Parts: sequence; structure tokens; C-alpha cells
Amino acid sequence: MSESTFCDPLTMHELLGKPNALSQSLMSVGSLPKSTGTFAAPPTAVAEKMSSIFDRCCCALRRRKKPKETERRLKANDRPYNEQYRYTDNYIKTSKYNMFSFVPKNLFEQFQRLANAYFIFLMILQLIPQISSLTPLTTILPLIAVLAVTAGKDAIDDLCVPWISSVPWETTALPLFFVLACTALKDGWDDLLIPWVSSIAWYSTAIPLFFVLFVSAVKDGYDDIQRHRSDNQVNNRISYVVRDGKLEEEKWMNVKVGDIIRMENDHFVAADLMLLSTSEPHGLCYVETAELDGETNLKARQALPETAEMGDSLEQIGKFRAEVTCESPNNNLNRFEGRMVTAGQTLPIDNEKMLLRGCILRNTRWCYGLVIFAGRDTKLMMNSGKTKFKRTSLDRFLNVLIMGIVLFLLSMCLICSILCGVWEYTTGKEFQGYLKWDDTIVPGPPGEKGFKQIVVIAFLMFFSYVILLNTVVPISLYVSVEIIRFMHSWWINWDEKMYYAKGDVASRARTTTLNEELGQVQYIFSDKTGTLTQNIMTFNKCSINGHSYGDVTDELGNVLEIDERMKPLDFSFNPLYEPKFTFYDENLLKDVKRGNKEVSEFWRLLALCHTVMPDRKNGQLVYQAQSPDEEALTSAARNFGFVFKSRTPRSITIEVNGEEETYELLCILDFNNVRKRMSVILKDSEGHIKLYCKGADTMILARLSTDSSERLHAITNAHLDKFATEGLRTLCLAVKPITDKYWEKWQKRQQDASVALENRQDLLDAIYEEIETDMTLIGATAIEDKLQDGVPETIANLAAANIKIWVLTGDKQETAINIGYSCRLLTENMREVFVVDGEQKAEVEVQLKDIKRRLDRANGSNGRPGAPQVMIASIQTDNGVNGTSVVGANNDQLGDDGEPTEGYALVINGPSLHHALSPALERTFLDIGCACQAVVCCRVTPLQKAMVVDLVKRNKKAVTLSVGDGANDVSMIKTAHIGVGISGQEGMQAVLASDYSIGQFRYLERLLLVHGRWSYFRMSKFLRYFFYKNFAFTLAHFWYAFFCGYSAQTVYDPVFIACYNLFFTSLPVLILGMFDQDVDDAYSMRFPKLYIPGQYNLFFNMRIFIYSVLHGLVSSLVLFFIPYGTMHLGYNYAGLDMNDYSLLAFTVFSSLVVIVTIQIALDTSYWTVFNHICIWGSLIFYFSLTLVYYEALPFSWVNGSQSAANYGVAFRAMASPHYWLSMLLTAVVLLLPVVANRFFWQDTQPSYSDRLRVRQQRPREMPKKGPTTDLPMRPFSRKTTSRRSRRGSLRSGYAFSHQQGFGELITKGKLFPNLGILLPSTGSAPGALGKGASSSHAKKSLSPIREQPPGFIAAAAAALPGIQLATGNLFASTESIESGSLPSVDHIEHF
Amino acid sequence: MADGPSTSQPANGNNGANEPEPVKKNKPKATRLRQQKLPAWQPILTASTVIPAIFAIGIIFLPIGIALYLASDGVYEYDFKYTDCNITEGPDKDKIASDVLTENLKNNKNSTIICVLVLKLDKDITGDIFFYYGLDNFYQNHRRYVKSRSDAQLAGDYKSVGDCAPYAYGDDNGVKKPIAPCGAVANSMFNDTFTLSGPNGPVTFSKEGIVWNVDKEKKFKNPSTPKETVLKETVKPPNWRTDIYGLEGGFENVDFIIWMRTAALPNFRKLYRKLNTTDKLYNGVLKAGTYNLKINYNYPVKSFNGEKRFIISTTSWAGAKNSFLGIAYLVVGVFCIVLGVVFLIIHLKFGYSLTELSNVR
Repeated sequence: MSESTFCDPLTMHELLGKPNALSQSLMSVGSLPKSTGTFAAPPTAVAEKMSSIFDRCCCALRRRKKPKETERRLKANDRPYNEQYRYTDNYIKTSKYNMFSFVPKNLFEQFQRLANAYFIFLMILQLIPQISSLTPLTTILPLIAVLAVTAGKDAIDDLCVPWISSVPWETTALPLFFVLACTALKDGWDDLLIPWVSSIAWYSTAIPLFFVLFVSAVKDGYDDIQRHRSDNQVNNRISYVVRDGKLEEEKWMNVKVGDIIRMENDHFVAADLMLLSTSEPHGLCYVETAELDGETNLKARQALPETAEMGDSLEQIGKFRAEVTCESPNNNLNRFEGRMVTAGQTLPIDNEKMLLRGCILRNTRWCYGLVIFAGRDTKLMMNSGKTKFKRTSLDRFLNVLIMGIVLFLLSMCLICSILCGVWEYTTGKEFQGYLKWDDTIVPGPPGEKGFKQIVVIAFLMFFSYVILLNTVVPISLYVSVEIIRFMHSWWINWDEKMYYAKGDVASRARTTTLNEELGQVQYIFSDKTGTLTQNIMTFNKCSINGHSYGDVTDELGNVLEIDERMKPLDFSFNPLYEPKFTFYDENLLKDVKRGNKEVSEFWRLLALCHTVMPDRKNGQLVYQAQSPDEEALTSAARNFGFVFKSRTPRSITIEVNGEEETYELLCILDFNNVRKRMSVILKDSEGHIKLYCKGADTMILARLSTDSSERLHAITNAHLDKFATEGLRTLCLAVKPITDKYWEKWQKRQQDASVALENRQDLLDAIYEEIETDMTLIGATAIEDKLQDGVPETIANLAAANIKIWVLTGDKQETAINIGYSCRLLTENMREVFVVDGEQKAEVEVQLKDIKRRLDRANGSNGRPGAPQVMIASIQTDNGVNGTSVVGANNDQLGDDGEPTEGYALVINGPSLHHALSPALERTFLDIGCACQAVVCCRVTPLQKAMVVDLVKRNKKAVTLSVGDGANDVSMIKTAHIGVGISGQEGMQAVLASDYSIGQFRYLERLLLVHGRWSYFRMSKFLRYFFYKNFAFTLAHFWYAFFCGYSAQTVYDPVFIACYNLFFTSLPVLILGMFDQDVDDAYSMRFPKLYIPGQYNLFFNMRIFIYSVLHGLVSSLVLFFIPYGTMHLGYNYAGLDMNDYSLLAFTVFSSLVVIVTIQIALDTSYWTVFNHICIWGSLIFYFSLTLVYYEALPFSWVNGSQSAANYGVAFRAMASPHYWLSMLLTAVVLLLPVVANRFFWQDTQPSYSDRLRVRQQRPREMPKKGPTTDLPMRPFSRKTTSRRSRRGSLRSGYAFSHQQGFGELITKGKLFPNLGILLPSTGSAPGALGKGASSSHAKKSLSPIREQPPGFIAAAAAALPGIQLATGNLFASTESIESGSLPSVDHIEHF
Repeated sequence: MADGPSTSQPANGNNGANEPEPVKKNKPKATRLRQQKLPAWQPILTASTVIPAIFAIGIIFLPIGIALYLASDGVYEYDFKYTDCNITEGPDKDKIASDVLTENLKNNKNSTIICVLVLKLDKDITGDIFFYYGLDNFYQNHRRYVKSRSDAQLAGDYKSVGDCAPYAYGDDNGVKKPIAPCGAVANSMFNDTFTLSGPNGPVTFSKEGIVWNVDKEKKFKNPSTPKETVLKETVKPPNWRTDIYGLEGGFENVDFIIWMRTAALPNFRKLYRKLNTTDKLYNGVLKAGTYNLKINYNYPVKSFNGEKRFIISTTSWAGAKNSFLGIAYLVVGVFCIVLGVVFLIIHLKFGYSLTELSNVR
């Protein structure tokens, strides 16, 4: 109900982040914002506000007529010009209502709930006395309950979730139930005891209704006021606009397209801006984009040199004139196209020049920007689409069922209505001597009563039957479902096994409506970084000169498992060691201390060959690396005594064993995706020139000198294989001495190439290639990308539960595949791993079709991807008729030990995905993806994540779940049926957008396999019983119609009708819905196959529903006709007649209550003390109530109600054998078949859960087969396999998250702001800058950077992650992705 | 919970080993209820419980069925329709009573119609003997009919007409007055009367104990107001020939009380009288022989195809002659035993033992 139309994360974040935000915003609404007070007198401000509101209204009106924008044109500093386009201003609105729209809109929303509308309709019908067959009480009681519970639950969902965790649940739940009970009791009292007269009833119905609607409305209104406030707060923020060469304070909402605004450090960006000039050199500035994409790292943005010149000169900026033409507003965060015409020049504008709303300016004192998009047009707002109101498939199914039931109801009513006409014609017309037609209802001249009157009567009777039979549409169903879901959410919140102690994070069900869907998930879409991995790289192993280091062995040479107990090496001898660095193999340290030449060279290479920047934090040396891999390697070298200490554009200083060594940095041969390696060329203090190279093994091994040792080559290769199988990222290191002569020649050519105007990159690559040959292999490194705890086990177990896992990551393909292996998403057992990496649509199409063909061939001629279909078939044949036994034990699709024995996997790249998601190919892509055990999508954007999820969601009848931890996962979390947020370090966006939040990925297993399964199991059982119970209850009226002249006479006492669903039968089934379990949590986790029935909806589907309805129908038939047969023309031993209405009614109703109670007792598989209390309590309550109501109360209390005729019936009935014997007979006739049927299936074809249930209860009688067969899953360990891995081609893992272009930044001094200032600002030609850098270096030869003021170093360091991410993986713009490998289906054969 | 990222916990730190343990304020309580670990009974349907239970039901049901059948079989019942009886007295002699009554009603003529029927009892009827009148196709359970009564009025509040419409108020010389007793049920009160005479002379009927106690004691009470006032302030039901006090006992009249207990089904019987066991002529036994039943035929049912019956019946411990329950119990009992045998065979041939069941991976 409280869905916000727009959801500005900025607002959300702020409101939730600051507890006082509310009071602050209150202040800012109530009084004037402090800052405005300085220059605006209050009345003017109010007037301004009013007029601006008026303007906006007008704008809104005008806006509708505005044609769709195809291109945006604007002029800087030219308001009149920009006005003509009527661009959206910077006002944002997330609220739903205003003062006038509130009442109608809110009411409309409330009545959109099908149940409420239906209920109101019924109630209105009941207000017509001529139709009413029941007292309104029977409808009002449940209605009050429905509305109260729903409203209460909504309130708790929407308002209280943040604080409810700190408050014991009793404080919220108890008052809720108390209020509910009181309301019900009070109304019941009034209606039972005050004789019902229609005039009174009208008010007694309307008042509670209005009350409920009012409360809901107040709640909605309150929510909306919150939104208004946060909107106001955001809209009233101050920004500084340049006007006529002066700065003016202006509220955000008044900022217009074309304005130039000044931003200061740590300010939120107010709109989408084009950067003009900044305080930093080269027009650079840094922004944090966490709100937009979840990355906490800084990104750099660079202004055009032409505009950057203006600097801080307000005069120049005020006079700045430019015409910008650019794309129309869209939601693509990574791309921007536009051009700017200024001073006769046309300059291109791309994304690198844009500051988007929602970013925060960091490490930049100030900057100026030109507003391009404002308000709703900003990319942030375009991206944060509607928060969808999520409903479960069960909800939708229920709606369908209810529609079906309503149709059924209407047809029953139609039958009754027609038969009523017939009856009135044959009998009723003549019966008028005893029961005349009412002239007021049946118009027509007196004495001329005939066909016309009969039609009217029959017509009215239709509605009477609608009212009478309305209980087949179970209104109390909704209340009960809400209560049960609410409880299920608490189970999740209370689960201590899903509590993450390290972070003090308990699992939270943030919405209470999706629980049972957790038991039906078929597809999990997972983020990688922060979700599967910790994003921590550790130096794990290495191979130097044919020796492998890193494994700890015992005396006999067996490799020991590294665990918590093992003691890491002590590095304290090294003053610069890092305490958190751990390494276990002491051989390496020994060799280092011994001064082994190869080992020293290995470490020296790692200390020198990189693009890391050193920094100091609290006096400690820290590294700022652009990729965590590189940091891990440099840091490993540091701990082993080869400390990288500082660098300048022309030098690197390291400290080896306490002595500083300074190398002249001659050249950085930078990394790129084609080269997959980087090198540095250094001159040591003795003048020897050396090339150090590190890179992907394939690249390095192919470039070794021919005379190097074959043996070393082979051994290293073996080591690399070993590392790769263990899921480590590998890297080869090589060195090459270079003669001065060669260097000089080479350098010249390199210089020429670097200033070439065409094909510069190709030329450079060729020249690099030339020098990086004939190298000598030093060794290899292995880095572990640390997984979150328990990820492989969780994934294996989820896979065993037939859940398909798709990893959607912004990482590169290699990284993603690597992680896929290490977390067992991809396994060695897989038949094939398909890779789609085409750049062009045609390539992708060919690749996809090729894969499809292979899959089809593999799955036989029918061409259908097999696994799921086979699975359904095998389940359905095993499914018992009673619907409780489901999965056969012989379902062998999954391997014996719960891991897929074979299958396929798909790896697809971001750009390929772009084409694969196009309408023409999406079907093929989906078919392939769904036929694969695992899918890995690399380099995807947040939007693509959502699109992939949406693709599956739209086309598969399957429940999807997205799990992620960052703001970049928000879109997919919102898109999927269920969004799970991991309360990680990356901020709260994912959690705030999610439906469930957990502390660690591994808790997902418990969330799904235990809580989800139980929820689904319980909800299904609950619904099956509920429909049965209502049909059994209601249809008796229909049978009775045939005997009462189709007059809509009730079979039961109206008071009991009101109580039936509320008091007599609700609690046992509610308790069942809350507590029932077939097997316990440990078994649910141990036998993941138990999860499968949920995925195929086997516990509650159309078949089961029809079965329940038929069960109810037969029950009602038996329930009515056995007492009928017993009482027909009957009298007791004393001759007193016993064929009166009240006796029949009482007998039927008593049997009904007894039988549905025994039925729930049969259905209950887990009898806690609550079940006992409620089941026996219901029966006791019913019988005591009948005794009190029919016997103990004075007659004068009831003689005004319709129950008066029934007064005294209890003793009469109970004294006769008829009552008891017919009840016993009915019970046996109805329940024996149920038991027999259940027993039959369980005895001959027990379901999986049946068997586990037996097993669980007979633990001691287990055949002792040893514990190994007991566990469905072996504890996972990274085993070293001796066979050659087919993953050889995948282990080319150089610096997976590395980016090109960093080396250039270092050598040209761009990352050293001090140098930039020293230079004459002649221009930005890279060559010139390079020369300048070297000249300054010549003056201050090899000045180490640590001597610079710390502020500059900090600025440089801050720039590092920024630049890394400017072309970063998450902003994977198509341009920045290199066309690396050949586009072909890169499958890997299994051998 | 919703702290901003700025204040996020020292989460997931790989250097957290030496830091002081953070306060675990979010840790859920480990109670059995919250962890869903409440002790519970988890019944399973096993062969050793289900099959004996089925047999047991069969064994219990068979004797009950036999007993019920025998009881019903021992009841003597004499039931005949008299709707279309021939008039035996008066000007319309030998005409069909129902036709004459219809004719009379149409012409608003008020004449007494009397049928005398000859009943032949072929054997002695012993035990308590009851006389019932029965109506067929009479919708005493029609919703509007059932509703149209005022229990408050019947209990003494003579002005309360409750839901009696359309028989709530009558016109007494232009003055609107409540009808007493009001409502369709009261208005349609059965008013045929019966007298029986046999070989030993007239059979004396008794009205003792033919109404349920609760009706007599709680539901039907004459107003405390003097009869004359009541009569003055109310009018009689339109179909009645007399006012309420014209009946013996007024509101507490047994025939009235019995009529007011509405029947569940359109065919029903209502107790008319029982045999006066203290009567010397018959000594509680109706001997075999010929009896004359004289019917004062007043109640029209012909127009809506209704039937009127007169029933003489004895009772057993299980009440009327109705073999339904007995047969049903016998059938279910036999079915249970057959089912038990079938299940025993199925279980032995195809069923799983518990050990087999629990041997699952």
C-alpha cells in the first residue's frame, strides 16, 4: 500500500541514516531554512514558495502537452533561451498524494484490494433487509478482523521495521491481537444482544467500516507526509548558482537547466552536470558514486581543457557562453553523448565530463558544472524506477482461485435463483395463504400476482444466496494468511543460526508477504563481489625456480590443510611488516633469509613491477593499488623484506633488508587486455638495465628465451596447473637484461610510436612485443580471491536443491570464471562450459545458435533442454493423490551425493549480453541459460542485471531471487520476485531495497531450505485445509436449498456462522500454519531434494485445490444428509418430535465442527503444546459455548435474535442417541477414507519426506552404514588433483581487475599534483607533459615521493581508485572493453 | 538497523581477532519457541496403528448397527394420508374434503367439514402410543416463514412484533394494532382436529408431556397483563377463527407450542396427542380391530400439492421407525472390516516396513 512512486536513494539514505532527519526536516518545514533567512524576509519567502508551487502546477499541466524530447539543446547562462524548451526543473516528488487528491486516491487504493471491495459489496447487500439471509454480523466480524490485521501489519511493515528489532515482538503483536479481539467482541456483543433492526444495523456496519478506512487513510497520510518532508528537505537544499558573475544561493528545486553551479567538497551533486572547471590540476575532480552504483571507490571526472582554464574566475564563468546539444534524458549511467559549441569550437562531451545527481564530490575543493538534466530527468531518477509492490505467485494464484470460486458461487446462486422461480411458480404462489408475497418488494397490482412477481422474487433470491454462500470465498483467509506470514517473518528474524556474530547482524524479513515464495525459488541471481567473495586478495602460493612454496607439509611430506589452528609465520623481524599478512610455509622465509638469488629476484620483481602508489596513513606505509591483486603481491614482497617505499615518475625506491635501493624507471610497458602482461624497464644504481615482466602464463611462457631450462618450464607449468585447480589466480614472472645500446635504440622507436597519430596503440604494442621476448622465467604467483565463509558448500547444496545459480558480476570474464570454479558453481564434472564473448550482434547470434544446437543434440532429438522436464515427470508420477506425498526417493537427476554429475555452464560477457538480451535473441539465450546448471554473466551493468532477472522472470514460470550487497544490485533486487540484501560493508542500499537481509551469503541456504520450505509447506497445508473447511461449511446451505424452497434459509444458527471461521476453526489451522514441520531444520538442510516439490508447486496447485474443494463438497454432502436421514420424520423415545429445524441445524453444525477439527488434527504433523491447546480447546470452546448460549443464558437475552428458536436445543440434542450416533457415523464416513488414502500411499509409495520423517523419528534404528552415507554432501575442500586440469586455458589470470592506462599516468606525472603545478600550463598534449615531467625530474633527480607534503600524497592516492574506476568494471562502457579473444564458442572439452 | 553506511559496524573484519568482541545486541534469543524447537509429538500413520484402528471401527459399528436396526424394526407405525378424504357428514356429504374446503375459501363460506375414516389395526399395539399429524410439501422452513415470528411476544411481551412482517400489524376498525400471536408461523397454525373411537369406545387422548420442557417453561408465556387488555390492544391473526385466548391455555396452548417449533424439512410430523395410559377402556393398548377416526377438516393444503397425514406410532429407545442409521452403521461396519483385510494384504505384499522407510538417502 505504501509504495512510493519514485524512490530517491538520496532521500532514503539520508532519512534513514540520520535519526534526527525527521525533526530536522520538521524544522525546515515549519520555520524557514536558516540559510535562506539571511537574505530573504519570511513573507517574501512564503510568497516565493507559493508562486513556485503555482509555477510547478502550471508546469505540470504544460508538461503533458510537451512533445517527446529527442535531443536536448541548451545554452549556458542563458535562462531565457532555455525557458523555451520547458525542461523539467530540479523539483522532485516522491509523495503520492496532495491535500485534495488524498481522500479519493487513498480510498481508491484501499478498495483496490479485491477482498475489501467484495466485502463492502456484500455488506451493502446485507443492508437490504429483503435480501438479507444472514445478519450483517456474520460479515462484519471477519471484515473488521481483515482490515485491522492488514492495516496493523502494513503499519508494522512500513513504519516500524527499523526499530522493531529492538523492541520485543510482544509489545507490537499483543496489542494488535488485543485490539482485534476487543473489536470483534464488542461488535459481536452489540449484534448478538441488541435485537437487530435494519436502521441500527446500518450504522453498526458503517461505523466500523469507516473507522477502519479512516485508520488506514491516516496511516497512508502519515507515510506520505514523511515523503513530503524528505522531498522538501531535498528540494530546499542550497546550491550556489552563478548569475551575472556573482554567486547566488538558490534552492535545489529552483536550479534550472543551463545554470552553472558551484559545488564544494563533500557536497551532493544537485543535478546532472557537465563539469566545467575544478580546483584540481587538469580539470580533474573526484566523485563517490555509491548512491548510483554501489562503488565506494572514488571515480575521477575530467573537465574539457577549454573550460578547465576558467578555473575559479567567476567573471569568466559568468560570461561563459556555450550551446550544448546532447541526448535526451535516459537511464544509462555509463554513457553520455553530446557536443558543446563554444567560442567557435565544437567539442565532444562524454560521460567522463559528467557529474550525476546523487554523487558526492570528494577530494576536490570546488568545481563548477553546467546543469544538463534536472529533477526527474536526471539519470538517478530515471534509474530508480517504481518500487514495485511485490506479491507472491501464491497471491496471484489465490486471486485466480478466488475469481474461480466467485464464478462457482455465482453459478450456484443462479441455479438456486432459477429453481426458486420454479418453486414459487409451482408451490410458493399457492402457498401464499400461509406466506404472502410482500407487496412492497413484489410490485404489481394486487391480485394480479404471477410471472412478473416471480421473476422479481427469483432475482432477489440470487442476491440472498450470494450473501448466504459468500463464505465459500474465504474472507478470513486473507487475515489468516497475513497472520501466518507475519509469524513466518518472525521465525526468520529469530533464527539464531542465521545470526552473523562478527557483524552483529541478524537476518531480517523486511517484508512479511513473500515468505512462502522462499520455498519455491528456482533461480538465484547473485552478485559476486561482497556476496560470494570478500573482495580480499591474499598471496597464497608461489613457485620459484621450480620450487613450490605455500603448502605446509608434515614430516612425511603430506600436505596439511590450512586452518585456524595453524600458526602463521612470524614476520616481526621486518620493521615494515603488516600484522594481518599471513603465510604458512616457512621454507620460503628460510630461502629468503638465506639470500637465495632466484628468490630475491622474485621478490624484487614483485616490489618493482607494478603501478601501486605508496601512501602514509597514521605514519604507516600503505599501498594504494588499482587492483587488489597487485596490492596483494606488492604487500607480500614487503612482508618478505622487499619493501616498495616510494616512487616518482622516473624512479622507484625499495628497501631490501634495511637498505634502500633506488631504480631509475625508464619505461612502463602498460597492461592491456590483449597483452595480458605488464613490464617495467629499470636501471639500477650500477647502470644495469633490466626488464621485469609479469603477466598471464600463456603470454609469459610463450616469450621465454629458447635456451631457458625446459625442465623449469615444465615444473612451473605443473605448479601453475596445481594452483589453478585450487581456484587460485596465477601469474608468471620473468626477467630480461637489456643492453644500453639496445635500450637507446628501442626507446627512440618507442618515443616515435607514442606520438604517432594513427594506430598509436598498435604501434606501441608491436614495439613492446619486440622487447618482451627472450625472457628468463623466475616463477609464478598464486593469489586467492577469498570467498565468503561457506560459499562452496552453500552453492553445492542449493544446486542439489535444483536451484539454478546465475552469477551476475561486473568483473571480467576470467575473474568470473575463476571464482565460478572456486565456489563450485562451475565444476570439473561439467560436460561443457560455453563461453559467449562476441562483440557484434551477428557473432553473438552465431555463438548462441551454435550452443543451442549442441545442447539440443546432447539432449536427444526432441530438442528440449532436458533436465527440468524430466524432473517434473518423475515427480508427478510419484505424487500421491492426497497431495501430501510428493517426491519419489528415486529421483536420480541429481547425483547421489548432491552434486550435479554433469551438465553445462554458460559464461557470457557484458557486450554479448547486450545483444543476447535483444528481443530477437533473448529466447535463445534464455533457453540456453535455463538448460545450464550455472550461468555466469561478466561485465554487466546494474541495468543489465535487472534485465537478465526480468528476462527469466517474464518467460519462466519460476521464482527468481536476487542476492547482492551493493547499490549496483538494487535494480536486480527490486526486479526479482525476492530480493535479498547482504548487510555488508558496501552501505545499506541493497538492504534497504531488499525483502530479506542476511549477514552472509551462506545463510541463504537456511533461508531457503529451512524457512522457505517450511513457509511454503505450511502455507500450502493451511490453504488446502482452509478451502476444504469453507466448502464443507458453506455447501450444506446449497444442499439445504433443495428442501427449503430455495429461500436462502441457513442450515446453521446465524450466530455460529459468524463464529465458525473466527473462533471455532481458525486457531488450530493458524497454529498449524505457524508451527507445522514435516522434518526438522537439520534434515531440511541435509536433504536438499526436499526443496524440489516447492519449485514445481506440488503442495498447492490447481489439482490440489480442486481436490480440497471436492473434499469439502463431499464432506458437506455427508454432513448434511446423514443428520437428514437420522432426523427425517423422527421423534425420540418419548414421542417428542425431533424433526424440527433447530435440532437439524445443531446436529449438522456440531458434526461439522467436530469433523473439521479432527481433520486438522490429522493434518497436523507436529503437535506442539499450542496445537494441543488449540485443537482440543476449539472443541471444548464450541461445546461450552453452545451450552452457555443455548442453555445457561436466560431466554430473555436471546429472544430477540434469530437464535431464539434454537434456544434449549443443546440439551435436547445431547440427550438423544440420534445426535451422537449421527455425529459418529459422519466422522467415520468422512475421515476414514482420508486416513485410508493417506495410509495407502504412504505404505506403498512413500514420498521422500514421508521416509525422512520416519527416519528422523527412528534415529536409533538406523542401519549402521557409517556417517559418510549419511551426509548428502562431502565437506568441500580444495583438493589437489593429479590429473591435468582442462582449465589450463582458464588460468591466464593476470591481474583480473587491472585496467589499462595507469602506467601512462604514472610516467607522465599526472598522479603527482605537485609536478603538475610546477609545469607551465602550455596545454595538454601528452608528449609535452611527458617532457616537462622528465625535465623537472632532471632538476630534482629521483626525489622520493615521501618527502612531499602529505596532502599531495593523499590527493594522489585518492586519485588512484578514482581513475581506476573511471573506466572501471562497473561502468563497463562498450568502448572500454577490448576486443580480446577471437569470437568463437570457446568450449572446453571434458577429458 | 538502518544506520547509514558511515556508521556501519566493524563488520567482517579480517583483523577482528584481537579487537574486543562487539556488543551482540542483535543476537536472537535462543528459546525453544523462537528456534522452532518446541517439543512435539509427531505422529506417523503406520500399519500397526491404522489397520487395527480400521478393524476396531468395524467391530464397534456392527453391533451398533444391529441394535439400531432391531430397534427400528420393533416400532409399530400406522401412517395414512387423509388429504382427499370423503366428507361423511353435512350437506357436502361424499364430496372430496379438499375440494370443498378450497371452494369454501374461495366463496368465503364457513362450514364445518368432517371426514370419518375407518382404520383397521391388524394387531395389538402395545407400549407408549403416540398420535401425530404429518404435513408433506409444507414449507415450514422457508426463510421468510421461519423468520416471521416474535419470540419476545410469545414469551409474554405481547406488543413486540419483531420480524413478524408481513403479519405484524392488523387493522381493527381503522386502528393499526399488533397481531397476537404475530407472524406467518402463528398465522398458519394447523387446525384440523382428530377424535378416535374404537371397539372399546372412544379413545382418550392425553396432552401430558407432548411438548418439550424448554418450550413450556421458558419460551411460551402468557402476558402478565390481563387477558382483556391484551385482546383489546391486539388483533387476532388473519387466518384464525378465534383469538389467542380462544385456544386452551392461550399462548401456552400445547398445539400452538408444537406448531411454533418449525420443522426442518418440508415433510414433517408433529405430535398431536398420546394415548392416555390411565384410560380404563384401553389400558394403554390399542387392540387389533376397526377404529373410526373423525377428522374436523379445516386446514387447506391442496393448492400447493400438500398432503396431510395421520400417524399412530410407538417408539423404541432410538425413537421412530427409521432404519437409516441402523443400515448405515451396518454398511460402514462391514466396509471397515473388508477395508482392514484389504489393507492387511496390501501392506504385507506391497507395503514398506518402518525400517525400509527410514532407509533413505
